[in-house]
Amino acid sequence: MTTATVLLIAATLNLVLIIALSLSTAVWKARRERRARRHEEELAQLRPVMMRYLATWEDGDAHDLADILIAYRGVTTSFEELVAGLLPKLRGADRSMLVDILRRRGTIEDARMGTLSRLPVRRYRAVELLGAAGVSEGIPEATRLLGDRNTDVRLAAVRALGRIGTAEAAAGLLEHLDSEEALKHPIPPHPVTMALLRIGTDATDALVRSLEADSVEVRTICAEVLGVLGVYPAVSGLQVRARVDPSVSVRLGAAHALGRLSMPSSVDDLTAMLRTEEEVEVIAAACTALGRIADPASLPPLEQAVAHEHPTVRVAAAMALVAFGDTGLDRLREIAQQDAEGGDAAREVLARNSIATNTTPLISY
Amino acid sequence: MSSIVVVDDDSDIRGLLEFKLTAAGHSVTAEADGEAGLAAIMDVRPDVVVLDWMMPRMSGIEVCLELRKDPSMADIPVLFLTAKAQESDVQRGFAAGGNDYVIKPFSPRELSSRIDALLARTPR
Repeated sequence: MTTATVLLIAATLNLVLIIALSLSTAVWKARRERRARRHEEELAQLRPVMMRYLATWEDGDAHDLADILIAYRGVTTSFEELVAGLLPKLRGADRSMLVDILRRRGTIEDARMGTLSRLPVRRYRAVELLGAAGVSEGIPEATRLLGDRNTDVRLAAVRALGRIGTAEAAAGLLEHLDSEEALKHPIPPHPVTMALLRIGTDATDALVRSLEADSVEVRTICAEVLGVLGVYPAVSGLQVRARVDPSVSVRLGAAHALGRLSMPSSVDDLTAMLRTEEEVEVIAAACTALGRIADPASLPPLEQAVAHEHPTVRVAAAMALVAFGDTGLDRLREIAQQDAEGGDAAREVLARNSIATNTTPLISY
Repeated sequence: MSSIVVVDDDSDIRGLLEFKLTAAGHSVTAEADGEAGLAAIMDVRPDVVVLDWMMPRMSGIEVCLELRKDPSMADIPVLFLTAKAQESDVQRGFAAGGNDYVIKPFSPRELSSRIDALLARTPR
């Protein structure tokens, strides 16, 4: 066989391959377009039925529509797909009614089983659905998936527990994070915080309990979330954390929370922190917290803190004094006349305050 | 029968409100963006407007401010239906001339009651 023949055969084979590839691509595209058209048609049929049911179910004569939705089996689309878009936008009885249809279709049970799938994408979809539906029977599955080897699945499980939003969901989330398993497959703190905030006051008991958790991250999250949620029964636990916790981030979180809760009973602990705390950030946070509480008993220690060796503390203390109104401002003006380092902080804060309140400068240079 | 204009870029919410309010005996016009919504309001002169805040072309706040500028439409009650849930957002909604404010996720039943209340308070 000559070289020319070999080349000719190779070129022919190439041509055949290109034609075959083009044909298969065209067929695949046509199929995809047909499927998309079918999908749109099915959605166009299903959507009005669901909307009509949502609009009329209260009248009690829409049972036939409910039966259609429960029995609906599309080729390219599903009732679940449509509901997944609507559930996050609704609350109240209409939402419960949609969840009831999902339950009667067996979707919730399927999703619970789906969390056991070997495929991460199926586990993800299953736990997302349990979260979107907000059904408490999904808590054990979502809690189990907090330890999933796939990061996306773990994060979906955190979100799901936040959406389900019960005391049990909060407890499951915090207990998992404090376990050894959480060290193998870590979960970033931000989504956990968001989930706990979403659960809200239902998470109170679990949050207060977990102030004593082994994990520094859990204690920190709990301290911050308790402050944001305004859980007043947590004040004594937070005071203890602010005083004695070995972790800087926990003491910082506790100081933030005590400031947000603004209970006068925290003044002694916070002023003690100004004397005994070594971390600058925590001292500054204690100053800010004292400013929020604005108890006259904390004026002298705050005045002393304006002369602290670190500028962050000096400014935080000076800003806290502003919160005391005229009394605090008078003290700041006195300090501003001094040449010591506290004077710089006082002048800076007075200047900021005069700009913020659009008043004439309180001191002249 | 009262006429209601719903302006929301979310087709699910538009569709749901169209069905719900029509079933309640109202005449509903639904639009997907602020500009088209304003045009529909000027055309229909509805009894109530349900306005989303964040929409393409023109925000709900801008639509509401335009309505309040025009003496012939300044009295049309406006209900904001929005995901903007901060206290300051609610204040802005009312400051722009909104008569009511409902935060998403929302209860269609509650929204319907609020629309009825707005209609009952509005002299015709």
